[in-house]
Formats: sequence, C-alpha cells, structure tokens
Amino acid sequence: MFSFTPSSTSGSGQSSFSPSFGGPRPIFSTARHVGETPAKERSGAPKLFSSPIATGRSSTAEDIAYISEGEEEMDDEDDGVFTYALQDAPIVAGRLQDWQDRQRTLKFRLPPLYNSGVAWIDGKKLDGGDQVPVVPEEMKIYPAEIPDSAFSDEYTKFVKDSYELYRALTNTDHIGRPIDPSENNLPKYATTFLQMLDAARRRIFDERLSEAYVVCHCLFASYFADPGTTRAEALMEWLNQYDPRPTTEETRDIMTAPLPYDEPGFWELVHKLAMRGLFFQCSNCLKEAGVIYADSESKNAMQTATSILETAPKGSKAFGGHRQWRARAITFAEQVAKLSDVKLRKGLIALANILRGDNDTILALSESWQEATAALFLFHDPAPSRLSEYYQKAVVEFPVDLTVISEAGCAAIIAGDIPKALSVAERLDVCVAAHMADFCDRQRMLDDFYNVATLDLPPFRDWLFMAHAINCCANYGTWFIGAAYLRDTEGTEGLSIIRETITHVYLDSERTLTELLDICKELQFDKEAQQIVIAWSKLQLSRNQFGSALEWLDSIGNGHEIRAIAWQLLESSLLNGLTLPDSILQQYLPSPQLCPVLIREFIAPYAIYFAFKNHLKEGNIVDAAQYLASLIQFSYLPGRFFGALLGELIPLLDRRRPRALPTAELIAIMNCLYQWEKDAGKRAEGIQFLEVCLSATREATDLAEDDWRIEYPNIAAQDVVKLVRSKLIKELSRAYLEGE
Amino acid sequence: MNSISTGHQDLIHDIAYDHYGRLLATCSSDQCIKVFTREFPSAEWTLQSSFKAHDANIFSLSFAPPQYGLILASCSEDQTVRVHSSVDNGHTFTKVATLSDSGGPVHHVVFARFGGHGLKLACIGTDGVVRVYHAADPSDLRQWHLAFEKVVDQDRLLSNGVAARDLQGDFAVDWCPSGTVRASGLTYGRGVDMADSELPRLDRLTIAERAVEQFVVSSMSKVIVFRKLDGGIYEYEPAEELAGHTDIVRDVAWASSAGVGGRYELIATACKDGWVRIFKLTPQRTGTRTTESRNGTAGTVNGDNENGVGENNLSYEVELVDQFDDHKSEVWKVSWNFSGTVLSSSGDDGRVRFWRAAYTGKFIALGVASAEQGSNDEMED
Repeated sequence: MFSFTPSSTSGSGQSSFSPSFGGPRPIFSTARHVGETPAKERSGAPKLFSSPIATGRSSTAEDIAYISEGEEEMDDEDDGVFTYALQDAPIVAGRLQDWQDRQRTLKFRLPPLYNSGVAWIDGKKLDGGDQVPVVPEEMKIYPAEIPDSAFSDEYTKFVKDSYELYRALTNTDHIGRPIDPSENNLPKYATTFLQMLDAARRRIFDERLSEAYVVCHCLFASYFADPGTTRAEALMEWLNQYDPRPTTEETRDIMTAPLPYDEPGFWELVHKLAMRGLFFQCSNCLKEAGVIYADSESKNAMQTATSILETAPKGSKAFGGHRQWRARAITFAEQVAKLSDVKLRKGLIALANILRGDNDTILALSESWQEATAALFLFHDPAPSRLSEYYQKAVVEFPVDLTVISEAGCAAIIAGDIPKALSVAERLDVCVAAHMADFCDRQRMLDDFYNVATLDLPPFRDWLFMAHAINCCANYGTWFIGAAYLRDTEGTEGLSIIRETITHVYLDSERTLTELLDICKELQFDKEAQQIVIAWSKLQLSRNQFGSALEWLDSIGNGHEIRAIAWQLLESSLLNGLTLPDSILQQYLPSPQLCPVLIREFIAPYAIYFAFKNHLKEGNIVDAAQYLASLIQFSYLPGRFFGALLGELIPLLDRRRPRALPTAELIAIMNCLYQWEKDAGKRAEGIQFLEVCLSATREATDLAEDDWRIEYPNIAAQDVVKLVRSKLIKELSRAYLEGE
Repeated sequence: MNSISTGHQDLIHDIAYDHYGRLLATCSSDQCIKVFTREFPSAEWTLQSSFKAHDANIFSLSFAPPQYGLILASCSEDQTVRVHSSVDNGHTFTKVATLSDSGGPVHHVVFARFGGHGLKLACIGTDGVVRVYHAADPSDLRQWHLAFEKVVDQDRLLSNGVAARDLQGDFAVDWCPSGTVRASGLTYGRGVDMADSELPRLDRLTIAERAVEQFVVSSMSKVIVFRKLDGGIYEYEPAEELAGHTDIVRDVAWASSAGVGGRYELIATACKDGWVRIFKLTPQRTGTRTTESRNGTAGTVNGDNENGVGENNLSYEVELVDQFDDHKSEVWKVSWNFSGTVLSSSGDDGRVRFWRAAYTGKFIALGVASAEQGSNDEMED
C-alpha cells in the first residue's frame, strides 16, 4: 500500500508519500499542518453538567466533587473532551486505523517542571520483531502542552499584575479579620482586579477568559460593589455590560425617525430602557418622542413620567429614597389608568408597572432570567436578602442555560451558592477563580462551606490558589509568583509543592540562585538548599568556574564535594596540563591564607601542584622539587595519581641539571614508591590513569613546553615507573657521591 | 511549537528530561542517543549532541539528579546499562560505566530522583529481574555496586528465566520521587498529631517524615512496590502489590505526593488491557517488621500486624482510586506532572490524554492531544 525507502536497518531515507504511490491517501502527512495551541487562546466550551443551582442551596464539598466528576462522566458518555491536534500532527485525518495497522503507538512524557511535554511514535514490537519500515514522521518528536496550562505573554502579564494586586491587598487586609465597613478595601481592589481582567481579555481575545470576566463581574457586582452604588445598581450595570439592551442601533433606528412615537417599537424601547435602569435615556426618549397630546392630562402624565425617571434614587440614597420613589410610581400608575389616549395609556401603564416593581409586568417584558432578576431587584425591593427570591421567580420563567459556563456561574452567584460559582469559574480560568475565591474568603463568605463540608480537604480558596500556582510554576518566568501563592496557603500542600519544585528551577543566574536560597532559608528547606548549591556548583564547574563552585560549596560546608573538586582539578591538570585557573582560584592559590578554611584544607594538593608547576616554569628547580616531593608523600594521595606524579619527577631527576632533591627526600619518595607498588589495587589504578595521561599526550596538540610527556611520546606506563625508579637510584647515588 | 526532526535513523523508543527540563535526550533503534537543549522563553528544542551509545536498540534512558553532575543512563537490547557523563553542559558525553549483569535485553532504566540516599539507578529487562545499582562514590562514576537484584514475577517467566523474544512482554520501573514518607502512623504513640492545625506548618511538614527508598516495578502483568526504610539498614523488600491488571503492564509512574501534602502516594499504570489505573497508597500505622509478608492479594499490605505493632515498618493501604479506558486500545505510557496533579496517558489510539485531580482528589479528563490531523478544538467522537 505504501512505498518506502530502505528499511530501518539501513537508515530512514525519504519516504514517498505521494498519492500515486501511497494509495488513496497517505497515513502520514508531510504537509505542514497548523495545529492549535491548547492554552489560553483556545475557544470552545465543553458541555456543562447538570446542576442543583436552581434549588438555591449552597454547595457542599460533595457537590463540588459531583460537579467536577459528574461533568466528566457526562463527557465520557458524550465524548465531550476538548481535543487539539499536535502541531504537524503526523497521522492524516481518518487514517488512524491504517496507522495502527503499522504496529505503531504514541508515547508521551511530561517534563519535571514545565507544562509542555514531548510525544513520539514508537513501534509495538521492541525486541527486534519490528519489520515495518520507518518513515520520517516516526523519527520526529512532537511537543504537546497540558491543556489550559500554558501562559501566553499577554496572559503572563495578567498573572503578574493580578499577583501584584493580591500582594498589595494582602498587605492591607488580613484574611479572617472582621471587616470594618469603613476600612473595607475590598471593593476598591475588586474594581481594580476587574479592570485588569477586562484589559487582559480584550488583549488576549480569549473566549473563556471573557466568560470568566462575566462571572467575576457578576460576583463583584453582587458582593463587592462600590459603597457609592447599591447591589441592585451594580448588578444592573453588570447586565448592561454583559448583555447590552437595547442596542445602540435599535435606539438610533427609532429615535432618528421623523416621529419616534409612531414607530412600532417605540414603547418597547422605552420599557427596555426603563427595565435596564437607564432612566435618563428613557426620559429623553419620552421627551423626544414627538407625541401629539390629545389633552392636558396626557401631557401632564408624560411630564410626571419623565420626572419620576429623572428623580430615581441613586447610589447611597437609593435605599432611603426607594420606598418614597416607588410610592410615586404606584400613584402614577393609578393616574395614567384614567387617560383617554389608549396608546399612551397602555404604554405609560406598563412603564409605571415596571417602575413600581410589578412582578408580572417585569417577568412579561424580560427576555432572560438575568434581566428579570436584575429588574425585580432594582424596582421591587433592592434589599440584598431578597435577591435569591427574585432569582427563583425569574428561573421559573427563564431556565438557566447550563450549557453556557458563564451563565451557570452567574446563576450560582445570584442564587448565593458561592462555592458552586467558584468551581464553575475554575473551569473557565483558574487564576480568575482563585482571586475570586480570595475576595470571598476575605469577606468570610466561605466560612460556612469550610466549617461544614470540607472535612480534611484543603480550603477551597487554597486549592484554587494551588491549582493556579502549579500553573505558574509550570510556566517560564512565573515560578516565584507560584511559590508566593503557595506560601500563603494553609496546610502543608503548598509548602510541599514548593519543596518539590524548588530544586527544578533552572539556575540561569546567581540572582535566581540567591532568591531560591532565600526561600529555602525562610522555609527551612535545608536539604533542598544543599541540593541547589551543589547543582549550581556543578554548573559552575561545567563553565570552568572552579573558584565560584568551591566558594558556594564552602557556604554549605560541603567538604565532600570540595574534596572531590580539588582532586578533579589535580586530575585534570595531570591529564591535560596546567591551565590558568579562574580568577577566584588565581587569588586563592598563591595566598592560601585568603581561602576559607574548608577550601584551604582540601585544595592543598592542587595548590601544591600549582606551585610546583609555576616554579618549574620559572626554572626554580629546587623549589619545584620540594613541592612535588611533598605531594608524592602526601598520606591521603589517591593511588591513581601516584604514577602520573612519578612521571612529573622525571625532569627533576635529570643528571644534566643540578641536583634538585636532597637525599632524605629521595629516600622518602622511594619508600612511597615501594608502598604504592605493594598495594596491587592502588598500583593498578595508578598505572591505568598514567596510561590515560600518556595517551592524552599522543592526541593533544597544545601541551606546554615543560610537560614531561613530550620527551616520551611512545613510552608505556609500566616503563615510566621503571624509568623513575632507575633515575631515583641514580640520583640517590649521585647524592651520596656529591654529599649533602 | 513545531515538531522536531531528531536526526535519528530509526524508531525512537524513549525520551528523558534532565532535572530542570532543560535538556531532552532521545534514544532509538539506531543505537544513538541525541540530546536537545530547550531555549527559553521560546521553548524550542535544539540538537546539542549525538553519540552512539550501544550496540543494539536502545530502549530507555534517564538523567541523574543534578547534584551528581550531568549523567545519563541508557539501557539496550545489547543487555547492558551504560552510564554516560558530560562535563560540558551536555555538548559531549563520555561513557563511564557499563553494567552488564542482565541476562537479557534491558527494557527500562531510571535514576532515583531523590538526592538524599546517594546516586542510584534501577533497571529491569526481559530476565524479569529488577536491579538497583549504587555509585558509592559519585565522584568516581566508573564504580557501580549492584546493590540489589530480585526476580519480580517468577511465575510468569519461562523456565530458562528469560522471556522469549516471541513472547510479548514488557517491564518498567519507577522510583518514588520523595526520599521520605509522611505518615500519621509514624507519630503513633509519640503524642504528636501530624494533622494538628495548632502546630506550625513547617513542623507539620516534617514532623512525621521518615527516610525511605521505594520503587514500583512491573513485570508482565504484575506490579509490585519495593521498599527499604531508613537509608540502607535493610534490603529492599517486596511490599504492596498493585493488583487488577488483566494483561501486560506497559508502564508505571510514581507521582510526586507534593500536591497532596505527602498524605498519600499515587502510582499510575498503563496496561495492554486498555486501562489507565491510578492507585492510591495511604501510609498506615506501622507494624512489626517481617521479612516476607506480602500475601499477594489486591490492596493488601505487609506487616500491618495489629497484634505486634512496632515502630520499624511502614505499610500502605492500597486503593484503586480511578481507572479509565478512554483510549479504547492498548495504553503504553503514563507520566505525571511535578505536583502529581496531572497525569498523561498515551497509546494505540494516537492520542495523549490528560487527567487532572479534582478538589476531592478524584481524577477527571482535562483534554486530549491528538496525533491525528483535524482534531482541533473538537469534541472527541
């Protein structure tokens, strides 16, 4: 069916996937396929669950579980799980079965910290049984992100801004403290958060973020309204923004007609404006209607109507003035009932009934449960305690559309079921949901939920913040924000996550390192601090910054690692020749007194070798020999270095030069040689390393002029030892002959 | 992010990330390992090094914790595990050790992720033997000590001790990410309640911690947790069995318990029977230490002897908390995120499925990434 180039055993080559060779349609796509990013840019709303919202009772933890789990059971039944194609998705649409017939499978692995993993195609018969030729798509890797977890740049800005606001609020507020209305900063911060969210959703053009905005706005209108406005006004303002009616076009079409009053939709427009609390617009419509009054009563009635509209109590005066204003509307309703102009009478009666909060009229003129609820709340009695009652009346006429997530969230808010609303909001945007929960928690709106339902679960606010923080930790550049949120949660989960992730943060700079260590210090994560410093020192080593690595290890008192590095430095020098150390070591090596004690203790062998090489380079043979002799005699010298150090002795035992070593030193070295040879293990190690050193010489092109190996390019390790022993004996005899 | 051509000349069998997720290594039947580096913030992968690592198919690979340097282990059909080291940030790797104790191809290798108990790796292959190697001196990676080996599922192996090539088999191993365990039971009798909200949080986090090394291993359809307490006083011992698999287990993955504050552990399995299973292991009050106490039934634990409660042992209550058959075909891989709150699974349906922990700890579907075109933004059929 398909035509391939040579099989896997002889390389991939190019596969020919042209339709003429590959059957009707190829399995794999060689054309570039533009996939969707599953992150915050995606659109589309999964189906919503059935919900007990309409009952009006508050959710319990079991309900929250029911929401989350029940919805997915429904997803399973309806297969309603959000799906996106991998970028450059390799399987042609509809050819999955053919792909499976090739005995292939898909594998995927998540990374240790970030939210973007990698998928790849593998064969199903590992042990040499796979005879299906391999195609290029099977030799690629396909990045894939956890849905709803990746931050775009714009979203990252929103995350950072909202964190700054959270931090500022935390600094001025204390969760759980009784709210003093005069000191209540929450409405101010809620307004700021909403503005930030509004700006973000406009920048990002994300449908779900926009839905989250609607829910958040509804919550803030319902519970965090500015003290200058009533909840009823705030809720109506929310509605007018969320679902603006009448539209500008509708208003313009009617009011720009020669005689608006004669337009068929005139009264509908007036009633809608009144229902939406747009009193001045409503009044202006009446004034500009072009009504030809049949009598003075009609004219007076119209003037009364505009007067009532224009004197509607607003803001802080609304509560006190509402009853009196409503009484005027009731009186007005009785007055207009007597008008002789039928058209005017009907229109004004309906208007008067809206203004006096008549349930039947408002429900009859409403188009949605939101509109009916907001209008009843605004006109009937704006006491917050009655909101739920209005909601119940409204949903009888206009059931909540639970397939729209934001509508379900708003319904829960207006029904007073805040935990449910938060769990719905979490499905839209966990960052927004977490901050909504934070405001609710600060207002102590979740106390009942915590007290009754959560048992040993973490507080719901904390759980939402943890979910958001996990996303922050999994995105580049926001780990510290995630950690800050986690630190503020109760319980041990947040701290556990910090502890788990802190060592995974890539140490891109010393500043990152110190910030991480500060967190470790604050949270007493001693082991993690050790791990971070060791990892940083390894990174420094790979950058040849030995001094920095040693200093950081000294800061945590890790002598074991310092010793390992010191020996590594010696090994590297014996193998590759002495290279110029980094600036810190250059400072320490000639002046050991400047070294921290731990470094001084372990760096000594390398420092001695360094001094030996420097003296040798400068022609100070005697000094060089003394340093080398002391290193060879060092009690704790690993046996593997002994052979290579013996080699370093060779130039110092040159009989053409003045004698460099006194008799005693020569004897001591011979004794060390004897001891080393006696220990078979040490000797084998030493010979092996010496062989490596010698072979390195053969491959190296840039050895120093004074490197002893240059003169012995083809010598074997065993012969080096023999040569040194022979030279030592000769030098000893020379010493006796010459006398001390 | 676009797909990346790895440059491999054959099928890719495994990938591994370094501790930071900054390096990605891939291994293939072409006997080579390739290492890619991730650019930030673009998140693009760029090939950094490539080297021939084995003499046959390479099945699996794993990076060591960073405090030991940049070390990569790989295992192969050539019956060896090889350890490679880089001293230049992954630009070049040098083979430093070859571990050749296996009696057959080695399917899976993984380094212990915790750092406190030394540099260790576990591997398992077609001989059905799980082996743990220990580098006693991490500064000398040439020396590895075979610290432990045990046949995981003697019953299912052929009489010669090695699964035949024509007998489909699979083997996997994964370490518990944490080197400690927290359990209310560990404070039993000490007058301390780990969950006492009056205690400072930091104390609650650490008060009941106990050093432990444990890993989960699958051999054919058997999945067993092995455990060693207190950093080396005892040997690893088979402890809990995660039962219920009706076919070959393809992969096992031990989640970080950070997301649940260490209250319990989660292990996911991918099975040929089409199910992704999530097991919850809740620490229990300690029992008297026994040398062979596993009774081999589902959800049972060792040593939980109410008549002889001591302080030396740890046991888990095992519960199958969730299982999903959404793949409707063989599942081959499971993988957790860093907090143990998101699980991915992938398999023969050409899809990666993501599951996330809901408020109550139950797992729910989060989304699907499909290798099949035309799956964008749609509801699965």
